[in-house]
Amino acid sequence: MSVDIIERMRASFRAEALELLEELDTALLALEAEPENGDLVHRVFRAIHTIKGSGATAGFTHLAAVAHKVEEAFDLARGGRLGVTGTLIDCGLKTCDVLRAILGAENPEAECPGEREVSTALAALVPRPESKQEPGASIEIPATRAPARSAFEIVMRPHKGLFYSGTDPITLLDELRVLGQAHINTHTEDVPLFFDLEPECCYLWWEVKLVTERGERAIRDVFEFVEDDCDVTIRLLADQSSAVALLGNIPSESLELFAVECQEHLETIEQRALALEHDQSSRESLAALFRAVHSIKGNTGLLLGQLGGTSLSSSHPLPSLARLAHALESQLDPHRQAGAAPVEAPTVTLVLETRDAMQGLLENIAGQSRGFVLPPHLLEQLKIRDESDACSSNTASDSAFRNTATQCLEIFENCLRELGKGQPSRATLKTYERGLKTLASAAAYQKRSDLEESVASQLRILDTALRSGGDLSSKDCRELSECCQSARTKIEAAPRNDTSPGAITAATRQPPASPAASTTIRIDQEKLERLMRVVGELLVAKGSFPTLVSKVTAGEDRVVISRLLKETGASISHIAEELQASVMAIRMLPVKTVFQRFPRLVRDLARNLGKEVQLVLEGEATELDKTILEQIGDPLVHLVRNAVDHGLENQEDRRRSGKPPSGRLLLRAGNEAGNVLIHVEDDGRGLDAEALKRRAVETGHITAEAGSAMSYAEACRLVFLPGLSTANKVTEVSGRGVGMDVVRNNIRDLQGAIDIVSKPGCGTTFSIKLPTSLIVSKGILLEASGHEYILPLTAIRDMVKIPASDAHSYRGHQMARIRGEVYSLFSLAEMFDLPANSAEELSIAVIDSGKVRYGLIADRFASEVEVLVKPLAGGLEQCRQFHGAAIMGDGRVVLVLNPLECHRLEASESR
Amino acid sequence: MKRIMSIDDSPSLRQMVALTLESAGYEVVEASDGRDALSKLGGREFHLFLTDLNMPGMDGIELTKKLRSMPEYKFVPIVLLTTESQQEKKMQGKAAGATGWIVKPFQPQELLATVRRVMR
Repeated sequence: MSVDIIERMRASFRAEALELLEELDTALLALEAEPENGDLVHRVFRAIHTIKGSGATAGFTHLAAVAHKVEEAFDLARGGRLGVTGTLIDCGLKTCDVLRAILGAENPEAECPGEREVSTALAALVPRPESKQEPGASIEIPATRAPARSAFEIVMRPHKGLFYSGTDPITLLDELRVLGQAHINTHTEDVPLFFDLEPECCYLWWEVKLVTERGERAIRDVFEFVEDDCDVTIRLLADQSSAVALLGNIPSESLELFAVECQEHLETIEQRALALEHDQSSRESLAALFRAVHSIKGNTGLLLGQLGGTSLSSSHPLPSLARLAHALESQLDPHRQAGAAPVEAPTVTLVLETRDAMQGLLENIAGQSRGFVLPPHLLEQLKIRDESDACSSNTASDSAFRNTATQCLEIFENCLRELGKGQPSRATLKTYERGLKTLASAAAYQKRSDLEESVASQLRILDTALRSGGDLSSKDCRELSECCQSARTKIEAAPRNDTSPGAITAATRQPPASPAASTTIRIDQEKLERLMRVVGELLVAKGSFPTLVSKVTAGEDRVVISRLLKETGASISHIAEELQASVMAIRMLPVKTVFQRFPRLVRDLARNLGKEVQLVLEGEATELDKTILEQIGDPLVHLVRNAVDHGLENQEDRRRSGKPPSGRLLLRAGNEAGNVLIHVEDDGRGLDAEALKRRAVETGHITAEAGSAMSYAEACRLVFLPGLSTANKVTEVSGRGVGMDVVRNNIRDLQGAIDIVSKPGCGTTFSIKLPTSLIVSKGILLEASGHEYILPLTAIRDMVKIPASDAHSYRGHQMARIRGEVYSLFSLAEMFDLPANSAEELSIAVIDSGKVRYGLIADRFASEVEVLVKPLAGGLEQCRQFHGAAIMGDGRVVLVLNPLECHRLEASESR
Repeated sequence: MKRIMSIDDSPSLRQMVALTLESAGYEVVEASDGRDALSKLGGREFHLFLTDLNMPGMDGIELTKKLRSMPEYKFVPIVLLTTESQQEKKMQGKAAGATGWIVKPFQPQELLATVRRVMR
């Protein structure tokens, strides 16, 4: 507030107050004449009240205090608790004089003549049972002895009617964000189905983790207005130091990046360990394995370094991870020496177990799971003494720094050797420079100011050399070499700076939420470049519009304009297609990312079951959309488990049937007609069709007659029925009741299909067909009662027109025979309660996906369209009868039907 | 720009509110009591109402009830300007659909803090 505004406010208050005082005088005199007149008492009260309120707001504290005393008296009079006497009126009038004096005084905060008498007179009038709080005096808040920064968990559950009080819960969350670092988690699970949704009700609730210096009181204050409209619980988190450290100090982006990188290293560890099992003497695998472990150790160390002064308890997963990596590294190190013993099976097992433990810890850190506990025997095997502080945060970050620094020094020395040979190349100088910059930032991070100077002077020399086109005098070379030497001495000499690394605080917006799907994506550089190229073309194409406009303005011939427009349109649409393809390509990842977990899985399974299994992976480079890849993993694991457990025989059985003792399991991916096919093929015993039929008859899925009429191939498909398992016993591996029907449903959710081919005694093959991408799909635009919908092409088996008289009603269901098969018919218009059109001919799309088969009646099939399907958001996502919505070329929004679900709507409503 | 209506029978308080809010970048419409406020709505969009409780003509609680019954202003935040002695009125206001309150006298920065608490 500027001084000017304050002055203007004061002046305007003075003017208003003088008017009010006159009004007060008049009212008081009138009241003296009619002491019983309640309205007059109110008039007096309101005038004093306004003077007091406005005065305090305008900064006249003293005036407000004086007015308050007389207001109090008239408040009592208003309530009938104090008689309107001459003394009271007298006090009122005298107060008016005092207030006028204050308003006219040079210093309005000074005491005025006559003030004391009035105040004494009023004090005598007004009974004071207990000393009341002075108005406007700030209430002392007892300082709670909270630690400097505390981590709280706040759960805010608004009542449904919250919005009726005009409250926007987002403002409350915003205010929490202001208090400190907030990780906010929104719960949507209480949002009801669309049909039950009351649009004016609040169904969301929030869980907030907050690290703040402000204490519980400040948090409570945020919710001051909504005490009656919200259930709020505020809880101090139990493990304070860890929570504060983790939530408060590491920006969620770096935590996520750390998790992604560690995950990659963990995968490398697994692959290389398995490779070592096959070839104990592979130096290459050992080196890669060692590097991966080392990187995890380094990354963890850096993260611990970022946490700085805030200490984590030693049971926190982060230091544990560092300890494990360190211990594993020490275990592996001796094997790296020349002529050392090869890595034997027990060591591989130890590596794999440690890897799994690190995975568990990593999930704890990333908040994906809780409560992973390190198996004690592992600690013993790795020779980790508990509570060992050999790896405490400082040492860890220091050792990470030393690693980096040593690597940099090696780079420098290589470059110097190159430079010493004579004409230095630009590339060498650049490499040198990059190394220096890395060292500089690492040193700055570690607060190694002693290195600053040497790095800076080297950078100066290189900079000059690079500017002058790569010239480096021998004097410069010598100087570089000297600087390098001194840096090495300083890095190797132990004395660490005792300044503790400063805590790094950064604004964190999102919690490391949604653990299921990672939100970052690593892109092949080539794909990114393609995208950039297309964007470049788009910019060029954009340039033709101004030319067009100027031609139109100049009154160019319409034919010419139309031709130009057509050309521009064609080139833009070409670019748009290319752009789409490039962006899609970015989302495409190789199947390898899913396949790579199988070597380990199969190994462990086979060992567990005492079988020998050879796993062959083919077509790992086949690409699939990221979303599909993330969801295809579980079904594949299920198929692989089944194959190893039930499909493949043990060695003895195999020998007896004349097969090689080791079973073969093939995972193959490939492209076919715009789809991706994944085969899971084993050379095991094949399916027992008779047993399947028996089970299906027993469970009432088919009749005995239907069973005996079934071909072998048909019988094999029974395996997809719910609740059908032919396994005689439940093994540890599979047969826990999650059946093939779940696998099939999962694949259907991805708009894919699964089929089975089995040959008794020779093996079973599951083939999975998946769309390459879920985003763009082909569909048929159809119309019902003037409304348009899109039906995905994948679900349609056939499209026919039949005379309306061919449809028959049976028990309230419409049925028709289409190409020799009987289908129930459902009308789109009826499903969505639209006025039905009667037509002589019915347009029917035949939906057949094995389990769900029916005919969908529409008024008209308009055209085939290619659309970008957007999932429905908010409450609408519960509407399972729609896949999503698509925006058409002209901007209309059309709903995309989910044919596997939408007939259910009809069925449930007709009941 | 967010539009706020300030309703108070004291011109100087209204001015203080208006100056404070305008200096923070809000548009302010002033009204002297509930009835005046209703006549100045004109179907326009308002993002917040700041109303005094005690006013001649139509008081703050009555105004809150009226605004809440109008579809356009059903969910708009309403902040009551009260004095510490009006605890009971505060509750009445809340029951009528008020969003929050600010206790008079208040400093300009308190006013802004309260405004930001209820309005995005």
